[in-house]
Amino acid sequence: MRTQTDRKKLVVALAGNPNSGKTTIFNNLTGANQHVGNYPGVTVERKTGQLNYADYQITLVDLPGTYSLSAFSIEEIIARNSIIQEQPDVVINVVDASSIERNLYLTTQLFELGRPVVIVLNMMDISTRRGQVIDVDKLSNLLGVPVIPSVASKGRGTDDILRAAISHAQNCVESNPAQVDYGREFEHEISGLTDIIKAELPNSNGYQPRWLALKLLENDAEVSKYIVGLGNSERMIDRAKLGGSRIESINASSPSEIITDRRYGFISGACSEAIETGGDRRHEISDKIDLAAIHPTIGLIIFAALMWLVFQSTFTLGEVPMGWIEAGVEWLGGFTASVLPDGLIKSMIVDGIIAGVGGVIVFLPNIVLLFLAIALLEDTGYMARAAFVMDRIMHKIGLHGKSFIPMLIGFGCSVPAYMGSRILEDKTDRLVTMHVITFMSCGARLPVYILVCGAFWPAYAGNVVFSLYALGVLVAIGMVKLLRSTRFKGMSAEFIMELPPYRVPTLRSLFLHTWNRAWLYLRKAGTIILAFSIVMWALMTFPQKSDFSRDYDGMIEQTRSLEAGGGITSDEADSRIEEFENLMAAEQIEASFAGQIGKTIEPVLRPLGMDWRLGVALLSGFMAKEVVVSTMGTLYGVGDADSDSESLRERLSSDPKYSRLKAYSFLLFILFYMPCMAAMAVFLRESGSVKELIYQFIYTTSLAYGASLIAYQVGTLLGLG
Amino acid sequence: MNRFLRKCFRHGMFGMSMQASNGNTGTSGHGGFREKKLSDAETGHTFTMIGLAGGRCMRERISAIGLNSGVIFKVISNSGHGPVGVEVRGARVGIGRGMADKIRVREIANSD
Repeated sequence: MRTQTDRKKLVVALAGNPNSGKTTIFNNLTGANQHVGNYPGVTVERKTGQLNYADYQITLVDLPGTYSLSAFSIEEIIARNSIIQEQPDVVINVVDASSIERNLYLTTQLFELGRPVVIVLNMMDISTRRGQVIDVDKLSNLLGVPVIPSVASKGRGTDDILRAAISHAQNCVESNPAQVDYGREFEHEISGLTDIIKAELPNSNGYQPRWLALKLLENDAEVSKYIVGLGNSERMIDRAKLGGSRIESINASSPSEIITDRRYGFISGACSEAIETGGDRRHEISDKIDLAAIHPTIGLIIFAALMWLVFQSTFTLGEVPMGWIEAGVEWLGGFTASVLPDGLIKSMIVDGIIAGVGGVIVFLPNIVLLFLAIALLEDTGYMARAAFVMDRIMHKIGLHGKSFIPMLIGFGCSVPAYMGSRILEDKTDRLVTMHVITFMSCGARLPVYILVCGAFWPAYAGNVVFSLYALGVLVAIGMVKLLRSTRFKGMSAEFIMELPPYRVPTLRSLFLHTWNRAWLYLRKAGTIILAFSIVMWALMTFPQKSDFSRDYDGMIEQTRSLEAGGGITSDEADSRIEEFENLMAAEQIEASFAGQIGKTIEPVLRPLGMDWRLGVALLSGFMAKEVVVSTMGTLYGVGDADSDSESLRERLSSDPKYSRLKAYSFLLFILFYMPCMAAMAVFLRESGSVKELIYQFIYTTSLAYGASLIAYQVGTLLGLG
Repeated sequence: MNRFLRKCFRHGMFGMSMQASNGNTGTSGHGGFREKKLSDAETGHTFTMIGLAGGRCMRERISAIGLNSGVIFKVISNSGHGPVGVEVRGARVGIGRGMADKIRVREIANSD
């Protein structure tokens, strides 16, 4: 057995179009031995994996899936910069054989980056079914690089890919990938500029001079910026400008147009020699499904049905394992409470850490189910159709067709919704969607709605709850319009999306997809959320109150001795003691920092019709929205409460200080104000921007304040209070 | 002809009139088929792309998914609202209506 150090190290990059089967090949090669992170500063996933093969230790880098290597999307810039900066020993280019011409467009650009390339001709089965006969050897000769046929979904060709990649990486001197000929005048300009670049930039930093020349001539924003940033670039820039305008005047087309046409021309030439097409494309099952799936009305019905299924399975199926986790957390809390001595440490571990982190881990089944459903929709190819039919409606609002999915998920929980917004490629679309997700009333807000509506509108609580959901959706639409006309000017990125052939997903891919997301979520719960739980606990526990308004300890003892003496039954004693403990907890929380904060902000909340207790309840909602209910239970001295709690309802509805108007003002605040800490932590990671997080925090909370203020003040003026 | 049109589109000469006239100003082309906007192209018919009235970014994006001048493609879904579905270079692609409004095509065959 060789040790790791004996093995020769190789870095292999995986490039290809989205939906080319690149990820399947990556999974086949690395198995579960992969690491998912982000490229620094952006939310583009960076996947790497390790594998050993023969004498080699291979690091596999999965580049973002792209159709091209221009500078018009962040993925494309990352893909090409990775190859230039990391200089992989070989680039494996996954090509979908069933749409080979389109896929080779990226290939021609990979050739120009100067690294050895091996082409994997994937989905040979689909291509054969369509009647295509590909002469692989001829194609390899025409392109000047090895071409390996494969059917990744069935694991066919995996060994061949590795062998070809390794041998090509070792003997790349012999490799001579075909270069697209851009025409006489154009090539003349390229070679002139290449000579200047070679003279001015002796140290190329991994850049191919010909590629730099080509990019400068087509006026690629990124490359021009890079060259200018190096200083002393006038000669190159001037020459590129001159060359570009000369090309344009001779050809009556811009350099970038000529480049596109020439590349496709080259590809058509190679394909017509190496590929025989079997006449017209046959009508496949895939096309037949599309007749319904992208139909303007039937498609919408199918979409609605599938979304209902996703929503149901996420939150209904999830309830069972959620119950287990809840029971597990409760057991752990109880067990810990029984073994630890009374005191602050116990309180911190049980009430702070276990309750806080436990409250977040409870959502894990939702996350797993949801991402399983998303993985299924994506891997089967349906997701693109969903976006297609929804774009009609969403585009009018100012969102992308795909925005609908995270927004729908938001009705369940904002955490998976923020994570789900990754399906939006365009950063602006993603941010705008994320900024309004919180207005989709999440499942944790429902207990608060039920409690308050049940207390103040017992007869028609359902209608009031519905009004809150509807208002949330309307405000979300309004906010999108507002954000689109202010901070994120311009319409949603134009819809442009491939509708890949339908496929049966592999279990392995579904598992990996889901596992990666679940792990990211768990890791968050163990770090940021753990820290915040302790902070929230401390706010509600300190300073410790010693002198209570009544001698509760003495009263509890008195009750005990009364019980021992047979004066009252033990049930009676227990309920009395519980009452005393609840009153004590209420006094404790009033004296705590949280209570003090509540009292400090009371003057601010008074115009909304709220007192300090509701202020503390809102504050506790930052930990998790459903905590509002249990905090109110503590504050009103009725102990642990849930949304069905009769005593809490009674306490609220019988309090002369409250009214329906004040209750609705409070509910509006709950609907609009900042997301909970778990959601905010995920928001930060998914947006990658503290600025956006602060913006989200401030604007949602001001909106909540404004809505409550208007509702309460106008209501009071109208005499509804 | 194509080249002339392309140049015009690039400089935006037809950009405005095209938008306003709902695609009926197209000169009659070869083989009796008129030029139209992709957004007006009929489902099931086959077209060739002539040019587009968008900027550089849009052109790069649509050529990367296989639509460049001269390419032959089939419209698989166009309901008059929402994106237009086309089949081009062996793949199916959805193109937003806003973009489809700016893509000039000419029918080459009617496969119905």
